[in-house]
Amino acid sequence: MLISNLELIPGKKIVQHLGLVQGSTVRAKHVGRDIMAGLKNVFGGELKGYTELLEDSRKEALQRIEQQAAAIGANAVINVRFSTSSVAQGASEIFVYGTAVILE
Amino acid sequence: MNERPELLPNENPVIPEGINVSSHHPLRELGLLTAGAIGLFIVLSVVVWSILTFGARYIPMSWETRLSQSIENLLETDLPDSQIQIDLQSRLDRIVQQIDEQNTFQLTAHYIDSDVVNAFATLGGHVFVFSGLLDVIETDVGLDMVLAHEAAHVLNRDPIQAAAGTVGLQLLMALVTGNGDFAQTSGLMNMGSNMLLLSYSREQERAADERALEALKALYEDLTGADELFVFIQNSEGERAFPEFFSSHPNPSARIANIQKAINSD
Amino acid sequence: MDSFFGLISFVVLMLLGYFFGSVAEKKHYQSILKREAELRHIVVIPQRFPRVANVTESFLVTGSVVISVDYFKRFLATLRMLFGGRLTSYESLLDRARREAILRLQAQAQSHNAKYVYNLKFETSSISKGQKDRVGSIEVLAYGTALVCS
Repeated sequence: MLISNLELIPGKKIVQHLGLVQGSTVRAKHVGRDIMAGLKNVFGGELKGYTELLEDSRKEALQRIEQQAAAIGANAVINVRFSTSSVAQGASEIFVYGTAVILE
Repeated sequence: MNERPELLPNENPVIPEGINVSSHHPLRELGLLTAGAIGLFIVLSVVVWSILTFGARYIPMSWETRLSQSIENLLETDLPDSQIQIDLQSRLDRIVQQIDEQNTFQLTAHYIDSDVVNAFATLGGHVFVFSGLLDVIETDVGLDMVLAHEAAHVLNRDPIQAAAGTVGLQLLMALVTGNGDFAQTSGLMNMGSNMLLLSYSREQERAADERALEALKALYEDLTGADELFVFIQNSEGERAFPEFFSSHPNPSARIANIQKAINSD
Repeated sequence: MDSFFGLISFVVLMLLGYFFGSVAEKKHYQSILKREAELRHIVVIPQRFPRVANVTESFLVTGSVVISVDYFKRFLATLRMLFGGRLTSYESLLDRARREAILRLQAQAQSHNAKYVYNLKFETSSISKGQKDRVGSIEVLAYGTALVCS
């Protein structure tokens, strides 16, 4: 399924707009990552654990938005926007939303 | 230009439930996570405790003595150089001579004027005896058993080991509860770490009893009456209402039995 | 003794949180499904460039809601943060909050006779995050431009 944050897909024609679809995940880190982050605070460098965590969350959120779009018969999601927010100390929500459309 | 107009929806699509909200059974999840958390805490406590108590044995006695300077200042109520204190010190020295082959330990006896029937050993080789205890014990061998027991604690490095283990556990608890804001569960953790402390302490007590008997055998022909204090405790409190599980010492009857066994084994 | 009373109060709070929390959630979802069916004709789209003809009026509409996290969910989240993974107790919370915000936005659009809401955007934030026994809550704001067609 095509997922894009463009309004118009170059080279493709949008036949029908279906509406808003959303995908979201809430994930928490675990104490192991916390401790590594604490150490990195001393030594500096990329927090690979957290990067991985957010990567996984994003993938899952995108998966869910695809699921929603497929369930209503769309074959593409355009105008996709991401929003990350911290819902609890140590957990954050990745939220993706866009318009489900049928491309030709 | 065959521009077909893009069709706009007339109404919002009906999206099936359960995509963004995974089906969950909150109670089952609570059970699993709690069991996991408890297991993790137990494992960590045991590991931290074992490492610290093992390592504490290697802390040189001189460091321990320096630590204990502050404790000495706390208990100002002891009466140094009183006749009783001198007597206690000479008994202690005699006992220590029997079990401290390398002559590495320097123990100091303290006499506290208080009705409490107790005696204990702390960091730095300080042994405290309360006047209440002296009032209750009448025989030489009974008093020497108590002193030998406390001396054995010092020689086994029990005080510093227990201190190190406790510090480690407190740190672990602070690390875990520092993250969350559920103060109520810290009570549970306290109880858990106390159990660990108490079972360790019972082991130490048993070992101290053994070593004390060793010393007494060298000093006395007949060990009858060595269990004087424990008989007193047993008679005055009865077999404790709390099971041995919750107490820092083995049951008095167990200790008496141990001593009787030692007496009969000559 | 102290820790015993602490434990009792903890268990009571958990039970209250669980029962009242799940009742509130069920009722909220029922209300959401009902209103979604009623307001389905107010179309909301995240797109920026409207393809609607004959627009007479356009104005900003918003819908927002603050939902609080109950004790049970918070404790579950705290435990989950030891091991990591999906915070399922918060997923339903956020879903409800978002759908409620959209419904309120739609209601506002309907009161002005709008049919479409374009460039729909969301803002999610957490108020106080539930530190130190204070109540934690989630705020969701949905906003967009409503279009009235002739």
